[in-house]
Amino acid sequence: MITTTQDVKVDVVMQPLPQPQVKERVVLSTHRSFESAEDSANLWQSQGIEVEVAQPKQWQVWAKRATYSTPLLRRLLMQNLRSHGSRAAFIDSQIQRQEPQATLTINGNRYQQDEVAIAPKQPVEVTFNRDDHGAKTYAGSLKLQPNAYGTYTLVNQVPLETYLRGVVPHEIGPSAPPTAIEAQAILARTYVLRNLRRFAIDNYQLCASTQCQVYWGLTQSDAVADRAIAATQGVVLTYQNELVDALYSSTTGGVTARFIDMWDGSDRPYLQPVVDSVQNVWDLSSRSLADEQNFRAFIAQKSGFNEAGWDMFRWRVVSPLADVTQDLRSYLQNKQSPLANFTQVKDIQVLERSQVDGCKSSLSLPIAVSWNWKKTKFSRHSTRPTAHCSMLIPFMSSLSGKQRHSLL
Amino acid sequence: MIAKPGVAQSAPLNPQPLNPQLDIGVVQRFGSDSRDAMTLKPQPGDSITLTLKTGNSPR
Repeated sequence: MITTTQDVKVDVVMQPLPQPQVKERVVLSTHRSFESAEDSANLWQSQGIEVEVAQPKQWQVWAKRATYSTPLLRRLLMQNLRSHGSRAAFIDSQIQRQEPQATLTINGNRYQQDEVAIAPKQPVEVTFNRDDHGAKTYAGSLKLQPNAYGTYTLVNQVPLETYLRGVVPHEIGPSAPPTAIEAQAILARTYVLRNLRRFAIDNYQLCASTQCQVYWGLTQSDAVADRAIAATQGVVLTYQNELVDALYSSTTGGVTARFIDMWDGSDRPYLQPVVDSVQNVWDLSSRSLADEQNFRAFIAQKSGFNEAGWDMFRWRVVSPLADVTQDLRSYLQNKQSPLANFTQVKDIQVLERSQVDGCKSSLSLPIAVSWNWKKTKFSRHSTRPTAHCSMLIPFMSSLSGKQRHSLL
Repeated sequence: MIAKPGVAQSAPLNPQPLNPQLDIGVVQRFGSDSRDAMTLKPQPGDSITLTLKTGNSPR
């Protein structure tokens, strides 16, 4: 143990390996969200393949590395998968010649360490040079530990109710009504307890970004949020005696979406399309957004919604087809899809909208090899379920979910 | 409490402990850029205790 009252500096030294090493894993599937990855993981497991969910960049399902631990086992698995018609799986092989080694400078001495426990008596301020939002102050303790990607993760060990002080102010504005902030506190508490397994592969539970919930430690914690957290202490949302998937978004576009319209997996019956308005501006039961005319009228309506006037409430993006082609190719290449060799996207058509909220669409993309997209995800800035119905041409980089391959 | 079917309800959190310790990855990919750097700054008058897994000898 080393104790210091001075700043501790941490950097990395790229350490050459004695000889190049092959880092290899079987990637069974690639996804835009943890929810869809977990659903896929469950399917693979039901077929007898041990898996783990990882997030090197996008979410992926890997064949469990401890089980498929040799090149031979990995290739036998791939052979087996191919023989059963799987085209999405691939072996991700990288030759590594050096690796980052964390180096700490403490009291003027330098230490190379893979794992460090950091225990301040009071909250400690952490500055990371790639974080544009500046220094963060964390209560509890910290731990620097290696992860599955050959780098390191700084983990903050903190009690739930203290963690919420770093979440609620960043997920809802302080000018919101106090009861709305209390509702946000309950959602945030439920969300974290439901999602403790997200980063099991790396021995921590949640991230601190919009991939989970924004968490800035005690930085910018405020009295209004603190009161809401205290007033709802220990309160969570349940459905049939289980924690709900307490999904929320910054913007809905005027209507929330069903779970299955956004992600793979079993439906969450408590997540229903609801028009985001107190003025009864739209009746979904009589004017279904699955009808194209209704949908267009809904999108054209800009007043009467709670989000009216917000930047992300109604927006329009025009992308040249050349850009769409490039983005789609990158997306498919990242998935190592055999369809990535298409030559050109010639057109995009909406073939179908979801029955209730109108935001799930099947898209037709006439290209050299054409197919319809299902479960198009429209969210531009949030990983959580949101129905940005205002988009006319989706970002290709946002395409996600299952593809129904069919030649047009 | 048992929720009514079809309705999400707020309920007191029942599992033990009531205020569990969480592990939050606040910097997820430290070292993916060779220029990555962090500074841990104790509060004025406070100290930080570090436990190094592989011993305390400087290199």
